[in-house]
Amino acid sequence: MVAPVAPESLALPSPPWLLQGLGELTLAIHFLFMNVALGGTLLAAVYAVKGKARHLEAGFGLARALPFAMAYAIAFGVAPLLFVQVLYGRFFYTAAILIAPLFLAIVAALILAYSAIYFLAWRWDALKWGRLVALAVVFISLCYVGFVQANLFTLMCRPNLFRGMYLARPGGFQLNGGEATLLPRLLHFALGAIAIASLFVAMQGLRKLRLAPEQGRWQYRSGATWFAGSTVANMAIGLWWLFGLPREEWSLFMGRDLWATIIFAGAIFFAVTALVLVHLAIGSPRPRRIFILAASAAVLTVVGMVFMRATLREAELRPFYDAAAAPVSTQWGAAALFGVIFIAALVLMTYLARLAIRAFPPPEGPPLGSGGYRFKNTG
Amino acid sequence: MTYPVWYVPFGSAWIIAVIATVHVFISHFAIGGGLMLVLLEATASRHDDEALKGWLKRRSRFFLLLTLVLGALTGVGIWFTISLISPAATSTLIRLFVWVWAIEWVFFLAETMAILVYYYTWDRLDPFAHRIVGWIYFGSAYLSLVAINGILAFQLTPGRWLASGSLWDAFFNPTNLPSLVARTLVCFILAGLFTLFGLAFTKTGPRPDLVRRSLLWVGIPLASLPLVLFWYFKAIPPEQRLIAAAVPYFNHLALTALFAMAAIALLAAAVWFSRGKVALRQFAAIMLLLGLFGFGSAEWLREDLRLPYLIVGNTYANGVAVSALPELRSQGLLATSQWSSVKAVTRQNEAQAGKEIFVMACSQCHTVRSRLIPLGPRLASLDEGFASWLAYRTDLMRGGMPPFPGTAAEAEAVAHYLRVAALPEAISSDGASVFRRRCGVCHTMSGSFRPLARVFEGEKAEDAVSVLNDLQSFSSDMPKWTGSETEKSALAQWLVAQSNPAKKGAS
Repeated sequence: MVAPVAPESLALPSPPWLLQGLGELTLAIHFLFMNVALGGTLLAAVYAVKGKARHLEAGFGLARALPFAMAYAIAFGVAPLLFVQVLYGRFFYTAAILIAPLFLAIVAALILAYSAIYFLAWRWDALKWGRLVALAVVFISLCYVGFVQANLFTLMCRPNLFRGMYLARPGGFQLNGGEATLLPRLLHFALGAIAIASLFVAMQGLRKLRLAPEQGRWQYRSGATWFAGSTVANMAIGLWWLFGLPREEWSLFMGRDLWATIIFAGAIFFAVTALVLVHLAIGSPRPRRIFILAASAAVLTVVGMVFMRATLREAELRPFYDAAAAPVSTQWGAAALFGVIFIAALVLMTYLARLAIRAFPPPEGPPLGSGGYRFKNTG
Repeated sequence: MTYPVWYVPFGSAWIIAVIATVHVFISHFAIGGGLMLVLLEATASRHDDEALKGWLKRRSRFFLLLTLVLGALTGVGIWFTISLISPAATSTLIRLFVWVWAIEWVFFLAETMAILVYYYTWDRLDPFAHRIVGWIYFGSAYLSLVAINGILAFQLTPGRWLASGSLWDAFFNPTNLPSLVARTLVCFILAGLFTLFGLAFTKTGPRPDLVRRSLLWVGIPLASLPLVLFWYFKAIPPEQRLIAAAVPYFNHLALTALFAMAAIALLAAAVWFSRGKVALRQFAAIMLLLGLFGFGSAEWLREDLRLPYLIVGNTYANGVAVSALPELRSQGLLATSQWSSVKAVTRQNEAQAGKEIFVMACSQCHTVRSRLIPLGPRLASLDEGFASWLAYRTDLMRGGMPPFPGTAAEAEAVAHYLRVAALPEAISSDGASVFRRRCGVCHTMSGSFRPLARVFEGEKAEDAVSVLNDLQSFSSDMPKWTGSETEKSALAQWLVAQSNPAKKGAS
């Protein structure tokens, strides 16, 4: 088969597994923060509409967290974008050019969303109805970003479309509208965002159990309910996405490829585990520990999904390009330097995190599960 | 062509110019401003100056917004834009420098965390720990600049990398250090300018001690900058300097940058010596704007120093790899590209072929008839033969043009397309106009780039006509004269008059 795009001029600077591993791990972290930002915006809007004091308290908690979620979503979005360009540059750049103006408008949408997020976080009390307007601006902007990214990343796996699309519209005003899996893919990401953000709401509820037990209990239950609803719905949407793929692709996750099947089974296992644990925590005298386990399972689900996504992309591009067989000229010295600097930065960031924790100590009160505030209202 | 070309009729270069100017302005300020913030905080702490601390707290909110929202996202914007406009060069840079970029990302991550912690922990941490956070922010931001500066400098002076292919040769290239020192000084200048601007608009009025401190941050690095820029220019290979100096608007950009620097210095001196008697708000605003224009012009100039390349010696400005040129010249751009609808120029498809060639080979820097270096009007004011020759021999033109990446027939098609698509410039037959259209594209009269003055020294107009009649005897690269006899006569007289000032006016 003639490659629809020509190869890059330089060899890969490191073995593909290293680039791929770093890219997917940072992408998983990016998704977690992005989920809190996108899902958190939606949940904050729901709470703002409901309007009771407990809703507004939960909404305010989300609004205050949005600047951090957004900052880290952007910071962790840079790394996977870098690694995907190294590994799949010829497909990525070509697909981006095919939808160029819409791709570039992502920057404007992000600036708009980020500005509105700070506006919300700093003016929540004063805004009243303006909250909904600002939340709508953030939500629509972030949805636009996700929509274009989904188009880009599906289009880059369809090299056979490239030439025809380019000759039809060299100005780039087009999308990958013919992609059958686009809608379930978008819904899957959106529901995933709600699930992770609702876990965040539940976590904030747990933190409030000591000083404001009623608010804490309600908030935890609200988060847990949203998590359960969105996760169950997402399983159905996920199956729609999976079986919307051609047979030779979905069958990879159904036993045809051992690695892909293990990842898929693992992701489903962790999602179900998270669901069960989140609800077990409600009846437990030690909800925090169980919640940490539930949140860990949810994080592992996201990691699994990210690796499934990578496996699917590899399968779709294999007729045109096999990263594992690409020429490599490893820069071990530079990779080692990156490792050393990364570890040093981790130490520094741990120090920063400790300072931040010292600056914002958790609210004091009797310990949970020792006759103090219990999760269940036993009175 | 490896990649398709995103065709923007008004010129894709505008997009990168706007985003890059905003980004470099903010990102350099973000570094210098970070240092200034933490040093001023130390001053406030030392003197128990609560007023200054309060001002710094409010200022750090502005700083957070400007750096995290606009600074970081316009940085992503530059990346997106170069991916769309110069995908081949971006791919080369990404593959070569992936670990440098990954290291830069680590610094960016630390920088993001540090500025958030810094802003949100005012009065919640002890002053020393808070200042440490500020130092971590400044250190990460500066190291981020160190990483990116090496890559930017590499594009202009890849140095030994062209032969060795080594990452370290690429990164530690000849202009890396002077460029880094120059950028460091710019960081301080912008920090001073922004702080002065902030002070001018405080409700309680500017504090004279802080105004003077800001002026020192502007003045001292500004005074050292010319020397560092001289060092930078000396580090550029002479042949690259010669090409760049022949870019027609090179002098305008250089003069704008120099004028802005001089004007900032004068205004800073006026504020310093007036001791509060000048309108600080107006002065500070003008100085900040001058900083934007001056710095923007200098960055644009730096980009153009690379011409005709994006990566000197490796990738031309239109994205064509230097190594791919021979094949394109012999096989043709249309035949070898996957992004062309026609594969060879015929009489029937000449217009379509010309347009596609223009998009692939020229539209990265030029437009057909918009404001950004339009080619149509210029070629429409020439006869078809000369226009086609020019299109094919772009490598001879002054101004850092890359070689035409196609066959002579393809050059003819693109020239035809451009001539038909635009109205000609107002044509005058006076000698100066003929020189500009016919000779000035490759020569200067008395400048350093293929000057003609010596050729016609001591000559008469009749001799000049003879020279024009027999141009190819000078060099096989010269085209035949294809203009009218009237133009030839006017040009001959003008050339002689310009080359022999005493004889001006003689016929």
